[in-house]
Amino acid sequence: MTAHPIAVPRNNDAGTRPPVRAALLLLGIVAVLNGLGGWLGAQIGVGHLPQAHEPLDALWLALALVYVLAMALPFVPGIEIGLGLMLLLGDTGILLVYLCTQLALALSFLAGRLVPVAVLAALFRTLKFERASQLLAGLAASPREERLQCLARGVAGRWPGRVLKHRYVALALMLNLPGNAVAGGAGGLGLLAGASRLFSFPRYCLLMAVATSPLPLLMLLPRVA
Amino acid sequence: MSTAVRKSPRLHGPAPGADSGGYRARGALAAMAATLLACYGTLAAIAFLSAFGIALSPDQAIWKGTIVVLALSTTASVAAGWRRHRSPLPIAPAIAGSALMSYLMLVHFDRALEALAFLLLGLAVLADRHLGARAGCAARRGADR
Repeated sequence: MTAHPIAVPRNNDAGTRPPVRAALLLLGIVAVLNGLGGWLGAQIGVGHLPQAHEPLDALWLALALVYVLAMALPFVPGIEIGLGLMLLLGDTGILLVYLCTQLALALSFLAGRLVPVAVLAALFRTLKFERASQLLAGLAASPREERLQCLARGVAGRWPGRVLKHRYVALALMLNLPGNAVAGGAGGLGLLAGASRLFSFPRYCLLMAVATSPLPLLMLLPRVA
Repeated sequence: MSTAVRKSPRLHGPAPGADSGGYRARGALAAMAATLLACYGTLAAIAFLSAFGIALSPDQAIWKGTIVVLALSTTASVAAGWRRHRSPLPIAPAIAGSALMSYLMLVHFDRALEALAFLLLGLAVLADRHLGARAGCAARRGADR
């Protein structure tokens, strides 16, 4: 092996040096801003200090946790529970419920993506959902590229093809359909979306962020106005 | 050494590893700066205006909500860097920082912990940029060989 004519030190690239100076600068900026912010807040009597309608911290956390778990489970009317929680908790609760909804839907999608399809098919078979089980087993057997054709083959007519083509829109509409709990609920839809491997996770997250926003926005807008 | 005309990055895209992650890394930095601005900038604006006799009282829910959403955007931008450097190192402090920020804004506020949340988010952005640049350098070295 011959040596390189111009020896370049391994760590000589500016971009590969650990950014210690930048980290120290960041520490200084945050400390100064935090100190100034605290002082200003005290001077003018404004801060982020939670004021009215603040229940016990533990109660908030427990409610959020139960909501995330309920929302992520199939056949649970999560959107309706969320609406009830938003009405119960008020302004800050709306945002908390919205964020918990995003977390729950991402969890159900990831559960569908990570759990092997064969396991899900067996679960559906145990629950006596024979057609759903067969569909999942068929999907698991077919290669990723042929899954759309496999799904379209199972149903007749023009509409199923269109729905599959515009599957993101269909999922968003289905999620906002009242009474969708009978079709699996938000958690079930997310689980199946993940299991189908036909949705990309970032696009799914973006879709969920938009699709679940009308209700919180409708509740927040009158307060802003 | 070849003296070929250098391809225009505008036409052919940046060379692999030309920067720390392009628009995505800059987006993470911008989201982090916007979070800081939403938090302390609003306070400064209120203080500045009150010095001229203009009293502003922003809606707490909207103010806190904006900060939380921007902190989560920072985390999302940092997490997107995974595809470039394949390291969980920046994602962990980003998630911790945004979770802490959400807790502080939505449940119980503490100023010292707020500084910690900002520090975690900032370190995540720095680590993301650093690892992105390193991945870029490695890709460039590989292309040169």
